Amino acid sequence: MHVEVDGKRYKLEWREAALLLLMRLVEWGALTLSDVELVASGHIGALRAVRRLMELGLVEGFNVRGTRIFALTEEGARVADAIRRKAELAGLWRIVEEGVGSGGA
Amino acid sequence: MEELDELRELTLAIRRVAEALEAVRRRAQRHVMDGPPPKRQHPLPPIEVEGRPIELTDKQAAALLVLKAAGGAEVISVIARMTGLTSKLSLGLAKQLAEKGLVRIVATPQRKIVVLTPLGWKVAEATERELERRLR
Repeated sequence: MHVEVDGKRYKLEWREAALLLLMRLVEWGALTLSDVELVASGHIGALRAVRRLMELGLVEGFNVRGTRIFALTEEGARVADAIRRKAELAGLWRIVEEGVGSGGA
Repeated sequence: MEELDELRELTLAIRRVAEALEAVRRRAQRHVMDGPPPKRQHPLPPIEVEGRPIELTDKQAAALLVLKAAGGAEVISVIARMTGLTSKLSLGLAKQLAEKGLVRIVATPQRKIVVLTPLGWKVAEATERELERRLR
């Protein structure tokens, strides 16, 4: 899918868009590789997705003593917000709201 | 056609987010994201960095030195072990340092990493120099 933020156009695969949204929605603003695997269907897919998002400057990766954590950059947060607006316009955001009840989505 | 593909991709993304968000929040329930700062902390003489005095306690200085020795980033459990604190207390200590702009905490409920900021690195270097000077 295509997302435009501040005049810059990003072409994202659905897993990449889902990862940005998930990082934006969790209260602590970051995901472990194991969390990423929930979205990307497996280890290889997870690594590929976060690597691409890091190359695009949308995600920062931290790797200390085998602990890997991924967090949104400021640009990544803006892109996640743009994806959310697209979903709201398409009437799709209710899927998230209904899925998590009143959990703050 | 392209619009339909876009909508299909967006739907897939949103569905997966809804499923994953619930799972991630469920995983989080078993873990802590907060901790109190350690009670017994002794203030050190202020250190001047970039023209302003930085006040640290002994435990805060120790945590900065652990982070510097690790190259600027360390997991909270190692900081805890090296400073003689529990993981909860070292998280509280890291939050004190984050409030001073010396570290950034990158954390999920299961995993927590503390990263020195550029100012934190300078303060850690100054702390190390001061310690060496006193030991001479």
